[in-house]
Amino acid sequence: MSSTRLAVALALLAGLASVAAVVVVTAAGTWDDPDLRDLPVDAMVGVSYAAAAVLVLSGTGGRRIGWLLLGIGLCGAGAALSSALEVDAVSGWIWVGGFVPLLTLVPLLYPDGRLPGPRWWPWVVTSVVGTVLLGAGSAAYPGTVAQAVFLAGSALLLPSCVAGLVAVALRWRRSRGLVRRQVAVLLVTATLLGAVTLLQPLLAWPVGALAQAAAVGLVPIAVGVAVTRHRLYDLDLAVCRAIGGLSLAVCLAATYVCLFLLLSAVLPDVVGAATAAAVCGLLLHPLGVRLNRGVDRMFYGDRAEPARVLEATAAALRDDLGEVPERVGAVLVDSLRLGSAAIAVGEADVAHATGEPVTELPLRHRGEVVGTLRVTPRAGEPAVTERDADVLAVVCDQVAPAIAALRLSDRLQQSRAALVTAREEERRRLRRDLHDGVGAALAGVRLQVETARDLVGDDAVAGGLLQSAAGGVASAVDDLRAITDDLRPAAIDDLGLAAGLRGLADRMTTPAIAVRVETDVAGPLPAAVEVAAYRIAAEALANAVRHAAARRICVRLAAAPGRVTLDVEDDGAGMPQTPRAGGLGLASMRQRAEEIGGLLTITSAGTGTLVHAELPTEAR
Amino acid sequence: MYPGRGARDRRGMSIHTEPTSLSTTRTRPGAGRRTALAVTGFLACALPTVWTVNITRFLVTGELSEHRYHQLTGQGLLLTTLWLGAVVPLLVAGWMGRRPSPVAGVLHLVFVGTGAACAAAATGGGAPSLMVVIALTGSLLWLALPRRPRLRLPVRIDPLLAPVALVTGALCTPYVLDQISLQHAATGHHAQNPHFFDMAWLACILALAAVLAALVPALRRLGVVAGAGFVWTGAMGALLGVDRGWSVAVVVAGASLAAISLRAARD
Repeated sequence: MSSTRLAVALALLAGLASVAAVVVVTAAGTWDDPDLRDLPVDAMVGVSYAAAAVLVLSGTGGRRIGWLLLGIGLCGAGAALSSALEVDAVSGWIWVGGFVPLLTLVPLLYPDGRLPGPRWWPWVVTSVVGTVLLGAGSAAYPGTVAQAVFLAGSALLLPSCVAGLVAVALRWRRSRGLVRRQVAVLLVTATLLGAVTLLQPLLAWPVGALAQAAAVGLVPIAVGVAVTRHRLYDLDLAVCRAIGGLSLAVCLAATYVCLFLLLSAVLPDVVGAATAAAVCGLLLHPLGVRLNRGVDRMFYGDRAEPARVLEATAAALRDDLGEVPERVGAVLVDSLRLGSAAIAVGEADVAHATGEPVTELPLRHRGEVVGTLRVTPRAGEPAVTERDADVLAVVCDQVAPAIAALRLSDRLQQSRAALVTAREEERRRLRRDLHDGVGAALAGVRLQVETARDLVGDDAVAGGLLQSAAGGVASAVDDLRAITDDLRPAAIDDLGLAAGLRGLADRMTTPAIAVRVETDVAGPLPAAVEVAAYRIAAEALANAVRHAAARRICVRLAAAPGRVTLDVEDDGAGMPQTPRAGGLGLASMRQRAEEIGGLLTITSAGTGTLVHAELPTEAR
Repeated sequence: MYPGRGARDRRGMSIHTEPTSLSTTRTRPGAGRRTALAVTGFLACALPTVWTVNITRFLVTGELSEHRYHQLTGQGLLLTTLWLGAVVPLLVAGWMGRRPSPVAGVLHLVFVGTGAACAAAATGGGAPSLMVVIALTGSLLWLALPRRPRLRLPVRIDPLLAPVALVTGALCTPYVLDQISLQHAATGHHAQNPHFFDMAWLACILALAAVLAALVPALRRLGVVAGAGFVWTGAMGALLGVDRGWSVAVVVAGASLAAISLRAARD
């Protein structure tokens, strides 16, 4: 027999025992027996807990909770039947199993059958031992030993109950979304049961017993529904409507009381009551609408007021185009309470939390998809709702032109970077060819001409011609060197970027100025990156020495995945608040970084300046 | 992805300089304006300051100890706290050239408005004269302000705060009526010194502030003020044995009000 079938059989047994108990007492007409006052509660425990156990055990999760509910149900049914049949040997102790675990083990294991942490196992042991001792003490009652055992069980169960409460409170604090709803369901029903139990002394029999039976029955039903997550996602809607209705009723009642009391102080009671009622009637619709809107906003943000979402989105589009995706995402998360929102420009991908359902909405501009808006639903929601999607579609239409402009700007930047990279690579090749090819050939020719001039001897004409030719070749070599130096900094090709930077530092170093160079770049870099880094470093060093009167300067070149970073830090006077008129240095550095798709940041204070450049080494 | 977004490279240059020059839209008030603010501020603050000092002296020395509840609440520290809590922020903002917050402006209007209404209902004990002085000095302060608080504020009802505020209002209404009728019936010391009028006034200020906090998002913090005021009033009543049932109810209502307002203000 499978465990589920066994559970169903035991649940049926519990249900039959409970029904049998009610039938026996009804047939005997002994409902007014004081010993049977709690029988409706026990019977309800037997039926409802067994039914909830079957519901839980038929699912995939929470098996421990299912068996625990079944145990409680069997004990409750046993208590009901033994009370009905007046079997005191059983009814004296079995009630313990139908009541105590509800206060100790259920809160510890709810809602997934796992403890809040490994350190909670002692409380499970304490609860079980306490329950057993309490049951044994009840069975052997009266007597000194039985009393001692009973007290020992109670002493163990008291902290176990507190531990159960703490466990629920911890789960409430730590959880979000669905788990929080599960805990909320238990808390609401448990609170109701507590309130009904407290009211017992005020309620006459059988109203009190029936009310308590109903409240007791709600707990396992709620636990079953919560553990199996059946329609739990729809709970928000019900809660939303309940809060709206309750809020309206309380507002109207309070307004009526206020008005009635105030008006009755100066007018006859009838007039006061009628006026207060009339005012409340007038308030009913507008107040209801606004309160429901407020409740909706509490749960779903500004979904019911798309104009507000659009207004916030428009504000996010006003500033720097490059930050539009992040700002729009933030606005959507804030105004619609979404789990997350991100815009992927073009074909780019964006990271999102794994396991969460992602809804993608295309951003279309002039018939072309220019990006994608990816959103995850609110905590606890299975997916983005149709109403949210409607609002998001309007936002997409509003954002798409900005994203198209951003995409265009990106492409422009990329093509510019590609052009610069190609230009620098071509210059490097050209310089190498001129230096190693034409330059070497000219040097050879010059050497030959000078040798020929020496061999000619006394022939003044030939000697003069060869002397002139040697001078012409020497001039051509100088011109060639000037051309190659203009193509790229000679130091980079001759010595490499690191040595080139050290060369720059050496030229700036004086007894009063110390320049340190730290490089951490292995392997060749793209020509454009080498030139940009060299030129930015040269400009920053010159600025530090000339304008900031720096004493110590540090140049750091480091490799990072996909880029190199260059830092030039000095201890000088910092930059002036207003840039110097006609100064081209900052613009030049900016242009060097920008044209290869890099980023330049200058942080300046009274104690120094940091020039930080990030230069991409891979084509984007 | 926001949060934890995938960052895009921002191109170009950004320059951060420290210390940055403080960019502000404030305009420093001129000497004439500041003189006017000083004079009107002195006039507006003089009465509550003297009042606070005297009441504190009574509390410390035990003078008129049979009126300790009123000294701690309606005719004493709580009322003057609300009074100065409205006037001082207006004055400070005016001095700095800033626009005062709507909370301070509305609290001051509620303070004066409810006082005037209560004085009209309970005319004994010199309450109308007192309200004329308060309204006059308050009006002069408003006239001296370089920029007045924004009072046209969007209304968005908080569905949790509104019922709590209105229930608190309903709880206060019979108390206010009772205090006003007691003031009418007062003889001797109470006829000259309108304690009951002050208590009615205090309850009206707190209740109206709570309702306004529930209606206007920019005034949600007023709910915290009102809640704290109710808690203080109720706690003092419960401790000093003044109408314990009502006092405990007011503590519960005030605590709920403060908690919900705080949540709403954070949102």
